[in-house]
Parts: sequence; structure tokens; C-alpha cells
Amino acid sequence: MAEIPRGPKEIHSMLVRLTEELMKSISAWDNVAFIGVRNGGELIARGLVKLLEEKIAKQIPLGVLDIALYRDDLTRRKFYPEVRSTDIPFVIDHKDIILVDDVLYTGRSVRAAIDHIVDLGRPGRIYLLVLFDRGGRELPIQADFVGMKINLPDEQVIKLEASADKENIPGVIISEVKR
Amino acid sequence: MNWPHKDLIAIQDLTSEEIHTILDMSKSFKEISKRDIKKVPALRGKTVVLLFYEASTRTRLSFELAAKRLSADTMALSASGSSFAKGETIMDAALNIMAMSPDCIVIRYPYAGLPKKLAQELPCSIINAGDGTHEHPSQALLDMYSMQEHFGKLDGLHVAIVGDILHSRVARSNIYGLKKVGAHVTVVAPKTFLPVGVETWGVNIATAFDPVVSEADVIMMLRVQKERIHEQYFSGEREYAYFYGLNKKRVDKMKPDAIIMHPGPMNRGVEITHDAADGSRSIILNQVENGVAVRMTLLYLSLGGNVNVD
Amino acid sequence: MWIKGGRLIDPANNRDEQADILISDGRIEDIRPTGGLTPSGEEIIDAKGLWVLPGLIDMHAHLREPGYEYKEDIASGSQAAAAGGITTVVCMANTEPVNDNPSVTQYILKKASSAGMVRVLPVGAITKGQQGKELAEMGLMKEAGIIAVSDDGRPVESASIMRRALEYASTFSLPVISHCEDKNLAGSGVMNEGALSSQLGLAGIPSLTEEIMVSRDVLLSQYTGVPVHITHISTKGSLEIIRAAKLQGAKVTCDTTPHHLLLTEEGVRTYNANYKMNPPLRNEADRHALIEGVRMNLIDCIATDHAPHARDEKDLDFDLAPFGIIGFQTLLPALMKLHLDFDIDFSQLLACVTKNPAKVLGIEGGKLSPGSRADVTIFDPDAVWTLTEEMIFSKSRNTPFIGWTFTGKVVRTLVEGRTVYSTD
Repeated sequence: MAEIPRGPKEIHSMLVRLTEELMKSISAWDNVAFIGVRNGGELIARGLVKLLEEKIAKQIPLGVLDIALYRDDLTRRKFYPEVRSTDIPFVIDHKDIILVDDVLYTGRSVRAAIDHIVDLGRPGRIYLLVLFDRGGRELPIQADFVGMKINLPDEQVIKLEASADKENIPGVIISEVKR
Repeated sequence: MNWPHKDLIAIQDLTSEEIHTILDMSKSFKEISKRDIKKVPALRGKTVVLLFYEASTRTRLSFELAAKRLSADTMALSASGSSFAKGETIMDAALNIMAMSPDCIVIRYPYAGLPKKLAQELPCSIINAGDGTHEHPSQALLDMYSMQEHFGKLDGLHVAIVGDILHSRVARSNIYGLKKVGAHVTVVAPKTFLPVGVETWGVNIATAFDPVVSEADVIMMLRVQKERIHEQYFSGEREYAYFYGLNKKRVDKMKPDAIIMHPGPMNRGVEITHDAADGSRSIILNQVENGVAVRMTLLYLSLGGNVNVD
Repeated sequence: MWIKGGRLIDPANNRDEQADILISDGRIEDIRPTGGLTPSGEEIIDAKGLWVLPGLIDMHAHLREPGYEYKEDIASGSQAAAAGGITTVVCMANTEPVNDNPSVTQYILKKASSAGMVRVLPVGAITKGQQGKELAEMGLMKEAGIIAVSDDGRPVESASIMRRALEYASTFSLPVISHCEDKNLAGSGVMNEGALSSQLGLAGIPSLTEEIMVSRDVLLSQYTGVPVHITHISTKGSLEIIRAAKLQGAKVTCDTTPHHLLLTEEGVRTYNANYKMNPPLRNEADRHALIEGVRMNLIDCIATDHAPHARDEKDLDFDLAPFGIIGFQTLLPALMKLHLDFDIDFSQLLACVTKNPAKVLGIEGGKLSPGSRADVTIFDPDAVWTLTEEMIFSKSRNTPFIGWTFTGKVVRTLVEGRTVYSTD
């Protein structure tokens, strides 16, 4: 596997490539909406929407999803997640949703995100787009669009840096964690 | 995030940061009540027992809805027809319930102090829904949430609490909470309704309502009970309404931005009139709506996380 | 209008000198030392050889209207008061119906206005119907015109109710006047309990009856921080309790009656019910203690507790007759008697019926200052006279002072500059 891109410029390049892939695969944009999973997915979704809107000269609806309340490990953890707001400013019914997250690993976050979305409405279909697919699935979930497939030892976590402003794509952090 | 409390007994136990955490989180939970499917699986499989030894419709309903919207299972027990009526002590009742492994007991009790005792004796979460005249923390939190929702802040607000302060747990919890977050409180009541030692509570004291009406950002009216006439706390509804009721004349003197609150149930015509309760300044129904959201937050915080881990 | 040449005695302004008063529009416009020039055309009242006093304030009286008009009504009571040099009458609430709501207050004020004589200031009840169970509408009554609250006629028996009453009244800045009597101890008593009552075969009311409640009210006042005024004290013991309380800084004031200062239980030997009142006439030691209490400024006010009862009622057996005697027309003569017989400074006695009641009640009056109400009493200090029934303006004649010879007589009374009584 190639060296994992880390800097903001490199991440931005990944987004440009993903945008081209999306342009090739999606023929009609009228019914498409993006939903980014907090926090990492939100930044990526924003970045993609910005790039796409320039290309197709049309506005694409963008929503943000918090999955804290749909996790399956909620009451088994010692520390549990802060609940942040979910903001979907469009009707979900019949839409083609592009669900965006930064990393696809066990697949549990995506499962939670899908459960949350169907509680909000009945989408026409859901595509999954992730920046990094690191394997290690525990549920039968696959992404439709992948920025890069990577390999990481179990003790390491990869995620998007926190960003102060929502406009600029940050870099990526890889850190050690005890599981 | 780490929430260090197994129980919620009193506002006095919370720090100002913890109060803000609850208020901020409640915004998210409020969204759930607004959408079509008013349910999230967060507390799926958890059991919440509602032990209400005092008659209460709205608080009980509010807690039940909160639990159910988080997908918890609920059981409501009331005083009449229960073992309590047959003479069983409250401790025995609680231990019996505990043997069936609930995750949380929401308790409303007519005498002060029980929730604290249960919190010490029982391993599950205890949430105080009002114990005697001591505290009613979830009410104060939903009141503060409602104020913050309207004004965008709590710090520096002038809140007037009007009525039977002496017998009100709502007043007490609100005073503790509001002071922690930097609001200023004025209590308004005839002397008979002011508790001994109120001068040490860090609140302004007024026995005349009119001067306060035009100064307050929030006017919170408390319900006055008719039985208090027979206990010589005040002379009657006519005089009380005249001097301490929120009527049209007083509403017209309020600051343009000021709001009217009431924990309910209201005594229309006594402490509050139609003009005040149903007018544009009233956020009384918002309080009820926010109550469910705040109680969802409290259940989520108390039950989320493994309570057996240190 | 001028009042010229009199000796002006005004304790509120520390004044005792020859002076002339100019009155206009119901108010005192000016006070000058005697001898100044008088503009012509002005009405002049010649007060040479006479004393010119602030109109007296009687802070405890019963005018019996509404409900007991056969004993007295506001008009007849006003007339009697005017004849006694009393320009302000504070009337108690034990009428029928009781003055426990603004309608009755308004009625009383309206009647006083029609009588057009003296200033009548109503006292509202503490509890509804004076039943001692629920608080009366003090706030609304204050708006209607009461100046204080009292259940006088009856005590407030429950300490917790008295506590709430003090707190509630203070919310509306209403002074509380307390009638101190433990009804259980009083029982069926009709006179002071002592050797004499046993001898006369009449049930007695021990001093303790009053002292226990005086003690209670002093403590309640200290605990709540609310002032209390104890009316008609009659015993040495009560005075002691009040003295100690005042030394501790308690906000307690008190009054006694002229008859408690001049009479003792000895009068009951006659079985004449005109010696029957509540609290009863006590013994000589009590009387002397009260006199010394006045002399030492421990007793703030003197008030008549003017309590008219019809002849048929007072003619009953001592056991059965109602309590109380009239007092308007013998108030000033009684003060004069105390001044002459006991050598108490007249100015000090006068303060007890002018400056002090005004202060206790927080009302205007009781003084002769520029700008004050022109309530003036002109008094002949040398006139010697005997009280007869015909002289009495009250509808009722129940007083033991009939046949007494007094020194000093009211010759003219002015209320807001208008003469309401004159001997001319």
C-alpha cells in the first residue's frame, strides 16, 4: 500500500479525484443530496459539494448527521459521546443521498448513520463515500466511492484533523490508542 | 465526555459547566421531538421506573415520553392502590423494585430527602422529580433552557420569581441554578411567603410586585394554593390577585423583550390572567415542550455509560 | 384666622410659650410670639388665659357604626370627641359587620365625612370576622383607607396566626395593634382577680391574662422584626415586660387608658357596672406603676378605649353587663388631673395624646407646625366643673366619672381650621 497522504494539499487532491469519480457515475444531479457524518464526514462533504457546485453550476443540498444516539455500544462504554445537533435542511424522502464519512473501518458508524437517516425519512437510495477504507469490517458494509484503501495496525486510529473553520480542508492525523 | 453523576438529586450538586452541558445537549434532543419518528435507539433495553408518590400528570408524562423516545422501557407506579397505601415503607418498596433490576428510578415524593437516600442505597440511577419542598431539578433545568432559548444567554438576566416562595421547590431549584449561571433573581411575595433566612440566599427581595414588573427580563409566576388561606399565609384570592397577580395592567408595563413563565398548573384569575398566560410574551407551552427534551438529556446522561465502572 | 394670646403647648416642636397662630385654608400658616400686629379684617379667636394645644389624637375608640348604632354612631361619637378636644378618632374594627374588607372601610369613612366633624381613621381587622382563622384583606383595606390593623375587642389567640399577621401587615406597612388577653385564663372573670374579687364574690381576671400575651407579642415582634403596639395595658407586670423589651431594642410601643391611671378595683365595691371594663381596673400598685410608666416615657400613648353601651345594658348585674366605658369628654380633664395630683409635666402627658400616637401610627397630625393640619384644641386650664349626664354628647352615658369635679375644660375645638365645638 502507498504511503498515506496526510497534508491538507494531499487531502484536497483526493477530493478532486473523488469529485471526478462522482461526475462520471452520477448522471442526474437534481435529486442528489449530501449528508456528512459528524465531524470528519461533514468537512469532506462540504469540500465535495463546493467542488461539484462549481462544475455543475447548481446548488446541492448538504446536511450534517450526528450518530451518537444510534450507536450500538452506547451503554457499554466508560466514556460516551457528546450528543451534537443533526441538521438536515431538506426532505429526505425519494432523494439520492450521498452519505460521507472520513474513515470506513468496522462499518458500525455507517450502520448507525443509515438507521438515523431512515428514521428521518425514506430516501430513494443511499451511496456511501469515504476518504479512507482501512478494512477490518465487522458488518457487511461497503463504500461506493473510496478515496484510498489503506492498511493500519489495530492500535492506530486515523481521522481528519479538527478544523476551526468549516471552509478549509485540514490534514489527517494518525494516532495510537489503547483498545 | 465524562458525566460524573450516577443520579440527579439537586441543582445544588451541579456545577455551572454541568448545567451548560445539559442545556446545550437538550437542543439536540429537542430535534427528535420535532421530527416524524420521535424515537432514537439510544437507551434501548434500559428500564426506567417512574415512582410518583404525589399526584402529577405533566411531570410524569414528560418523563415517560422522554424515556420512551429514547427507546427505554417504562413502568409507572403511583401512590394510590400500591403497596405504599397498604403501609409498606418506602425503603422496602424501593428494594423490591430494585430486585427487578431497573436502570433508573424517577421519583417524586411528598417529603424532602428520600431521593438522596435512595441514591446512596441503590445501585441504579435516581432522578429527583420533586421531593417535598426541597428541590425539583428537572423543572429548573427546563426553565433555564427555555430562558436561554429565548434570550440566547442566561448570564446577566434579571429573573423575577413571584408567589409562594416558602413552599416552592421550583423556586428553590431555579434560584440555585440561575445563580450558578450568573443570572440575577428577585423574589416577589408578601412577607408571609418569604422563607426565614431568605436574606442569605443572594437574591433581591421585594414585597411589592409593581416596581419589579418593569425591570425583569423574565417573570416566573408560581401557583398559589388555596389551602394557604386557611393556614393564614394570605387573606384570599381577591387580594392576592390584586397585589401579586400578573394581569393585563402589569403585562403592559413589562419590558418589550420580557417573557412570562409558569411551572403549571395555573390558577387562572389568581396569580395569572388570560392576558398574561395566553399572550405573546408567554412561553408557558414552550416550557412543557422543552421539558421532554431536557428530561431526555438527563436520562441519557445518567444512563449512558456503564454505571458499574468506577 | 388668628388664635391669639394663648399659651401654646406643643410637645412635637418642644414648644411651651405665649404665641399666636395664623390659620388659612385648613392649614397652619404661621406661628409667631404673642404681641405682633394683626392685619385688620381677619377673624380673631381670643385665647388669652387659655392653653392652645394640638388637636388630640385618640388612638383607640369604638364608634359602634355599622351595627350597634343604638349605643353610638359616627356622628354622635364625632360630636362627643369634638367636645373633648379630640380632633382625630381612631376607631376599631369590631363593628357589625366587622371592618374586615374595603366596603365596610369605605362606609365608615363616608359616614365620617357626612358628620363633617372630626377626622375618623379606621382600623381594619386582623382576621376575617375577627374569628382568628383567616387573615383579613389588609392590602385592599389599606387602599380604602385603614391606618392600622387590630382584632381589638378580642385577642388573636393563636401565636402562629399572630406571627403571620405581623408579617402580612408589614408587607403593606400597616401598624399592628394588639389586644393582649389570654381568653382561657380570663375565663368568666369580670374584675381583677385578687383579695377583693373573692370578697365581692365576683369571678376574677388575673394580671397574668394580659402579661402572658404581652410577653408572647413582644417575642413575636422581636423574632419577625415587625413592630407591635400593645393597647390598654393595665398591670405592673405588663409594663415590666415592655420595659425590658424596649431596653433590648425591641420595636414595641404601648398605651394605657385614663381610667386605668385614675381608678382601681375599689370602685367595683359599688357593683356599679360603670367600673366594669376589659382589661379590668387593677390594684393600687398597678395604677402607680402605670403612672410612673407615663412619667418615665415607657408608656407611649394614652387612649380612651371609648366603649359606649346603652343604659339598659350597663344596668344589668355586674356579672352580666358588657365591658367598657365612654371616655372622649374626660380624656383631657384626666390628663390635667394627673398633672396636678401627680406632678407630671403637662407637656409630657400631652405628647401621649398628640405627638406619640401620630408617630406610632405613622399619620399626619399631633403637632402645630407651619404647614400642618389646623387641628387645634383650646383649653381653659382654670375652669372648675362637674361632669353631669346632660353634658355628655355620646348616645351612651356609661362612665364612672359622672359627679366628678375636674379642673380644666375644653372651650373650643378646630378641625382643619373649622370650629367643630365651642362653649360660646
